[in-house]
Amino acid sequence: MSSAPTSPITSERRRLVTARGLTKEYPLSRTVKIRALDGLDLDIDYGCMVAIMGPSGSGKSTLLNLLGCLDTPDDGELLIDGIDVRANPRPDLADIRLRRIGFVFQRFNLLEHLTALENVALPLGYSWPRIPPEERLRRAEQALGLVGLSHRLHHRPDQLSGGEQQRVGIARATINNPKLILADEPTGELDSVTSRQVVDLLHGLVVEQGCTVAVVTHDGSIAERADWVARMVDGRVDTMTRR
Amino acid sequence: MRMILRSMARRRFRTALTVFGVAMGIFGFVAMGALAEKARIHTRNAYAYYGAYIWVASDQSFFGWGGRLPMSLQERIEAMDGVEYASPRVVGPLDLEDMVNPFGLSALIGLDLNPDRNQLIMYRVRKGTYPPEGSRGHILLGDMVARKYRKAVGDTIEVRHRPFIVCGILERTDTDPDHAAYVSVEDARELVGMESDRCSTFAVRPLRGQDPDELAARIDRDFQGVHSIPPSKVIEATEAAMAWFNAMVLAGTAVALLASCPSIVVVMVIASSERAREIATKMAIGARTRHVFMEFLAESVIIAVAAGALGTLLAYGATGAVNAYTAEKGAELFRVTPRLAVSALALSLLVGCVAGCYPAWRAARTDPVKVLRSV
Repeated sequence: MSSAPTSPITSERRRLVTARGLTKEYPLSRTVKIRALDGLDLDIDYGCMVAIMGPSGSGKSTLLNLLGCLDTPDDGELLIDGIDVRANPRPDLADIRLRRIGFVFQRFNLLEHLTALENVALPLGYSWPRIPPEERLRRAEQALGLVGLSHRLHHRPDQLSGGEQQRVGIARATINNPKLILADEPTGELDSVTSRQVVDLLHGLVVEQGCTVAVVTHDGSIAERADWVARMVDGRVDTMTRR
Repeated sequence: MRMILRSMARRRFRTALTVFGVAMGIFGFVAMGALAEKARIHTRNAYAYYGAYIWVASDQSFFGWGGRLPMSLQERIEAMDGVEYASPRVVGPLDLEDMVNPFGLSALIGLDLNPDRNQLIMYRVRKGTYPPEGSRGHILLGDMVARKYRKAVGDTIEVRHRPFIVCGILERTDTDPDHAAYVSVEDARELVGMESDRCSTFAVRPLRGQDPDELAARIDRDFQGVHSIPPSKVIEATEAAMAWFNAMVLAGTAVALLASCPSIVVVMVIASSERAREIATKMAIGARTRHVFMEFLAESVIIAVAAGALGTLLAYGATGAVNAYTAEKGAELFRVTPRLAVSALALSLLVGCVAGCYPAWRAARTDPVKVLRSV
C-alpha cells in the first residue's frame, strides 16, 4: 500500500507537526536492521485530536517517540511547533519535551514513592529558571483539580485506582501547558467506564485548552472522538481520515 | 533532596547495609588516623620538650637508661663556652612490674628542683605545686601516671616501698612527661640505687645564639664515654616518625577507599538498572541527562557522607573506649582530633563523588525509547 501524504492542514501557519519522509531503522542484530518508519509523511494541526491506529509493528510507537523528541529520525524532516527536531542536540530535545510536549503512558508511569501532587509537580522541577517548590506544588494542585483529583493530592500511586492514576498522568502531562500531548494506549489498562472518563479528559484538553492530542490506540471509542484518524501500515500513514 | 531521601528510603535495608559497609571503611580510616594523630601529637610535643636541650648520656646507655655519668662532669660542661647550665637527671622505671606493661613504661625521673634549671618549667602544674627546691619525699606526677595510680594531690604513693607525698599533678602534655613521676635527684638516686656522685643524664641548656649541634659535637669530642643528642637529631627522629605516621594515614585512606567505593558502585549500578523505567519517565517529561546524573551522584554522596559521619562516630566511641581501658594501664593510644574528623567527612565526600560517577553516568545514558518500549 502506498504512503498517503494526506494533510488535514489548510495553512502552514496552523501546523503543529510537519513530517516529511521520516525514516527510522532499529538494529535487530549487528547485520540486520528493521525499518520501523519508511518515508512517513504527516501533518497535524494545532488544537485537534488525532488517533493513530494500525496493526502491531506498523510503526505507531516509533512515530510517537519521534513526535515526542525521545528519538530522532534517520532521515526526513520533522518540524514540531516550527522547530526542526533533527537540527537540535539531545539536551535541546529535552527542553522541547519539557516545554512543548506532554506524555501520557499506558501504564501511567507514576513514581511510586511520590504523592500525586509531587508526581504532577515533577516536570516543573526540571525547568530553568527554577520555579520555587511552593509555586510548583500550587500549580500541581491546580492541575489535579482540573482532572477532578483535589481530594487525592497526597495519595501515592498504590493508593489510587487505575483511572485515578491515569488522571494524575494527564495532569502531569499538562502541567507545563504543552502544545502537544502524546498518549500511548492511554486506556489500555482501564475498564470501559474509566476509559471514557480518560478520553473525555483528553478531549477536553483539545476543546478547552487548545492542546493538540495525538493518541496511539486500538480503542475504537477514542477514534470516534478524534478529529482525525491516521491509519498506519508498514511504517507509513496509509490513510488520514477526518471524522 | 527530600525526594532523593525518599527514593533511598524505598530500599532502606540495602541503603542501610551500604551505609554500614562504607562506615566500616571510614571507621578504619579514623581509627588508623587516630593512632597516627596520637603519635604525631606525642612526637611534636616531645620535640618541644627535648628540643630545648642537648641531652648528654653515657655512651653505654639508651637515652640515659642503663648508664651512669659522674657528677663531676656537670662542672666541666658548665665551664664550656656556650653553655648556660647542665642539669643532672636520674632515670629509672617507676614500677619494676611496669617493665612488662605493653601499654608503656612509667618513668621515675630525678630532677634538679632549682626552678631556673627545672626542665619541666615549660609545663603548668594542673593541681598542687612543683616539689619545692631542696625538699625530699615529694613527688610530682604526670597526667597519665596520676590516672593510672588514681592519685590526687596530698595522697601518698609508694615507690619501691618508700612513701612519697603527691605535691602536684602536671597538666596534660601529650608526650613523655605524662608518663613520668618526678622527684628530687637525691630521692631518685636512693630509689634506683645510684651512688651519690652519679646521674643518668645531663640536660645541657645552650646559651642564646649558641649552635646546639656545634656544642654537642664539642661535648662528644672533649669527654670520653658520653654521647650527646642535639635538637637537630631530635628533629631527624621526629621527621622519620612523622613519615611513618603519614604512611599510616595514607594506608587508612586506601583502606577506606578500597572498602567503600566498590559497595557504592555496585549498589548504585543496581539501583540504576532497577529504576530504568523511572529514569526513562523522567527523561520523557523533560529531565536532562545532567538532572539524572546529578540525582544519582547526590544519592551516592548522601550515602557516603552519612557513612562518613557514622564511621567517625563509631570510631570516636570505640577509640574512646579503648583509651579508657588503656589509660588505666598508663597509656592512651588514640586521639580523634577535629582535623581528623573533618578529614574523614571530606574523604567520605570524595568517596561518594568518585564512586557515584560511574553509576550516575550509566543512569544518565539510559535510552528512554528502549526502556519505555519494554515496559
